[in-house]
Amino acid sequence: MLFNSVTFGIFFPLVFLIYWLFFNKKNTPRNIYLIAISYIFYGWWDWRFLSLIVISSLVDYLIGQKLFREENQKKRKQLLFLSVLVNIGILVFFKYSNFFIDSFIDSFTFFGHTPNISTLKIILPVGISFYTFQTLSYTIDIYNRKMKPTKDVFAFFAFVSFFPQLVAGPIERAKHLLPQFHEEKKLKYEMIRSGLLLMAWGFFKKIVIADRLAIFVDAAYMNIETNSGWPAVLATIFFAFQLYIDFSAYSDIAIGAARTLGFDLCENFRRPYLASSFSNFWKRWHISLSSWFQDYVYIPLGGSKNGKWKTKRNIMIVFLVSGLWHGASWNFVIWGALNGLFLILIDKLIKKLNLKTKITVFSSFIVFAFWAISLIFFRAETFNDAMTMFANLSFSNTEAIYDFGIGESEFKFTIFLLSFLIIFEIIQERSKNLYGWFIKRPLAIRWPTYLVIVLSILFLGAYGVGLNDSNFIYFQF
Amino acid sequence: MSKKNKKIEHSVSTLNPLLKIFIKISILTILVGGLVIYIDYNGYFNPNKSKDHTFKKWTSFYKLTDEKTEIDIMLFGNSHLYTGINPKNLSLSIGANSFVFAAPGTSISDSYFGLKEAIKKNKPKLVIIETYGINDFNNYEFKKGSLSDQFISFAARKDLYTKLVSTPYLFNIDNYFYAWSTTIRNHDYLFNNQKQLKKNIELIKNEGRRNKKEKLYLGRFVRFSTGLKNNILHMYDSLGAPVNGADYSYSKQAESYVNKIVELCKNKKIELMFLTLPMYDKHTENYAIWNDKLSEILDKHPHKWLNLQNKPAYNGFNKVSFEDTYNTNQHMTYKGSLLATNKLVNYIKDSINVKLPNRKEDEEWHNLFYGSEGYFENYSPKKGDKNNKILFANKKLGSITINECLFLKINNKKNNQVLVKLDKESAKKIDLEGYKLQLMVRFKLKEEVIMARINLVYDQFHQTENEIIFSSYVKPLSILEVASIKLVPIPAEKNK
Repeated sequence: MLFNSVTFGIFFPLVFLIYWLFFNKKNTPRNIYLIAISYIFYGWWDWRFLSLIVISSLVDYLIGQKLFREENQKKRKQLLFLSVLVNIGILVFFKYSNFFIDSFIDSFTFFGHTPNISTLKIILPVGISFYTFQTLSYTIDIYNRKMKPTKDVFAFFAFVSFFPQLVAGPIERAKHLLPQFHEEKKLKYEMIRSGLLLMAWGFFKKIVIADRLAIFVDAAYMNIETNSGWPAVLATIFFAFQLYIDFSAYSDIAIGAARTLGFDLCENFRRPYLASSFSNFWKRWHISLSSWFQDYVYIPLGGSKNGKWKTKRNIMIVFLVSGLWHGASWNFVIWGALNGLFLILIDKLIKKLNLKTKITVFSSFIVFAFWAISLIFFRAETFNDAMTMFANLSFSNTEAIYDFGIGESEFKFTIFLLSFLIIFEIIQERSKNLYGWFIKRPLAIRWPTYLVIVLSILFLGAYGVGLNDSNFIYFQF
Repeated sequence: MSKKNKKIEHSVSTLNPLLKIFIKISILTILVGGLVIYIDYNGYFNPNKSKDHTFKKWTSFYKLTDEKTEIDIMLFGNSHLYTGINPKNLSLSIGANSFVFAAPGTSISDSYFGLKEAIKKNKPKLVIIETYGINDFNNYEFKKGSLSDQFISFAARKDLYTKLVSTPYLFNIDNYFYAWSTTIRNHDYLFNNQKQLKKNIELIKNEGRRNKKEKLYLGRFVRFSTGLKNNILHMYDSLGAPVNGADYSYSKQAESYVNKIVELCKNKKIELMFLTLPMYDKHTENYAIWNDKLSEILDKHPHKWLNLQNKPAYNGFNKVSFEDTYNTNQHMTYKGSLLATNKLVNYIKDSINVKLPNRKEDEEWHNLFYGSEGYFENYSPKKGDKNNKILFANKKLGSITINECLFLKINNKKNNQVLVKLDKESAKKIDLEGYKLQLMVRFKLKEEVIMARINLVYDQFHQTENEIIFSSYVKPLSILEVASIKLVPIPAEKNK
């Protein structure tokens, strides 16, 4: 089920009402209810893949119990290995089988021989990269004695399948989210209001801004041979914004929806385009994944404790794995590698020129520019497309910018929206608690604001008959 | 914060949080919903309805219904029907009222719900379903982009209850708002069609001042006037047919809607027939397979099926009858539609067991159709009609009786028409398709009387039960008399 669909518009209010009217007293019935509605939410897309969530949940629940009781370190390692094997095995089979087969064929073709192997017809289950990482963190934390396993099977299944964050995160840590399934929930007006407002803001960002940028970006990448000059430059910039706005919008809706049900999800984005270095950027971008890689890959590899070169090696490993996590293609691996290099090299340059303290805007601009360029590999379908896109980048062909799906007035409006968003984020960065300030405003300010948000989505949203339903970008991962 | 605001805030804050949220969201929904309904009602985001015949069709139908005009024959289908059948000619030939309910790009489900709404208001004696809409469609699988026609057809219908009931059958849940609200469907006019938006605003402003008299409209839409040209004909020879009948299939859903239509007509005691309008014979290969598959559905029911694609019913159609296209979807031209209408008229008269009213004696009926296309081919001008005159009547041309020679100024400002009706019985020994009628006429030009020759050609598209028509369009002139008339054979090569 898509957040930006009429189905969800009916589903969510019903879930919300039934939840607070009938299931807020006792934890077990509530958790069973949450599992049921989460499975409906997921099964709406394809019910067959619910079995994977069930397998993943069951395996990690049982292993978690056993891991905690087991004292023998060798056996504990075996149990952890089993958990990793099942979760990563599912992920590898569904996500990477064809990638490995293709790469195998390509490597033989390179030497002049094409093996007769066909790829598999596998559908990539939505959200698989997210929930497998979430359940993995649970067993790893128990293995590391950082937490105790839950005995409540329903709480654990609800934790794995919790619908607001099931298909595109934030990737929650069991330590943070799981205890919330054991707590009694109390209906608080403020909690619901802030949740709904966050959802509305997420919908505005997705439907009005991200989907409008998508029209231009999709058209430019679809006509890669003819987009040279400004269209290619704009497509690169717009995609960087589209990706951020789209994904952060999903996170806002997820966090907001969870909040209305009394759950607190972790922050996933903290105004990343205001970052003044790459290290700062990765503390602001897809925080739940970055911190996952930091805790479960970077630190176990030794982190920054073993000297400069090993630190650099570890950074590169993390970014290569992160690239592969995003998608089973060499383009994503290159994208990951580039970002690893940027973190090592560009940050050094920024530090050397002392830009961070002198001209923050300039350092943010540099980070954004390199990030946007790396995203060409992220967005292009093939390596060749990415190369063509790079070759197309120039400041010519201005007259062609209105030939890519959005006309002059809509283009100007898009620029206005981006400017508005940047200013909004700068204010947010400085004031910290914009929401707190807003809710203290009188009715005459708050209500027109609510109306403006809803009416903007309705009248200025990039949805409609000519456009097909727009998935959130991170669904594909 | 003002006192008033504080008071409202206080009264709301004392409520249960859930109730409080419910009240606030309800208020917000009412405000937003009210605004959308207001904008919808006023039509700010309406598409260009002057060009939209689907909208015009339902408006005309409701107008006729309000005027207590009974529709005797209702035809349902898609663009193949509205370009393939001329309801005025059909009505005038048969002496009963017919109406074409066809919306482009729609399927049999749309026809079913259109039929439901139409018979609720005006019960016909005969329903004709064109079969092109019986295909492999599935409403729920349509993407929004390809649903435009379905939305337009849905929006054009006016009966709220029938629309409400049909919504879940026609659209999946994500398309409900698009189907019901032109504002939501066309909100992108703000960027992409500001011209139409301005036009609508202007139209709303001037609503009171408009009082345009609508002509009689029965659902006809003339889209193609020229027939197939050599380019496309060569493509048939070099590339083969663009449509393969073996590829035809129908969905379970389509079959179920055929059954529903049959059931509905049975319950309402309305005679039902199916009609297949043709494409050029070289346009489709393996039509027999298509025909057989379609028979699987239609032959289950006891209703008649006129399939004009099959020979001998196809005979008479030729390159001028069809749209000049190699696309898979080929429509009929104006001339093709007249021939198809003629064939349908004969089929209804000969094969359909339905008692249609004979309105030919009804003066009001004549007033409704008087002067419209096809009227004078079937009936005489009224006495005292200054525009349309009988030049002479009941004259002999050898053994052939000329029933009437008419001079008409109808519907065409640029040209007048000379039309001669020959008695079919008296002309049956001669193959008149190989002849032209030559008239020598005296007419007045700037106070001077001039003699001229007018050649009338055999009009294969407007033949009636008892008469053969010859006609020709002439420059506007004032004919004083017909001096002579003779039949002249056309050289065989030229006639071809």
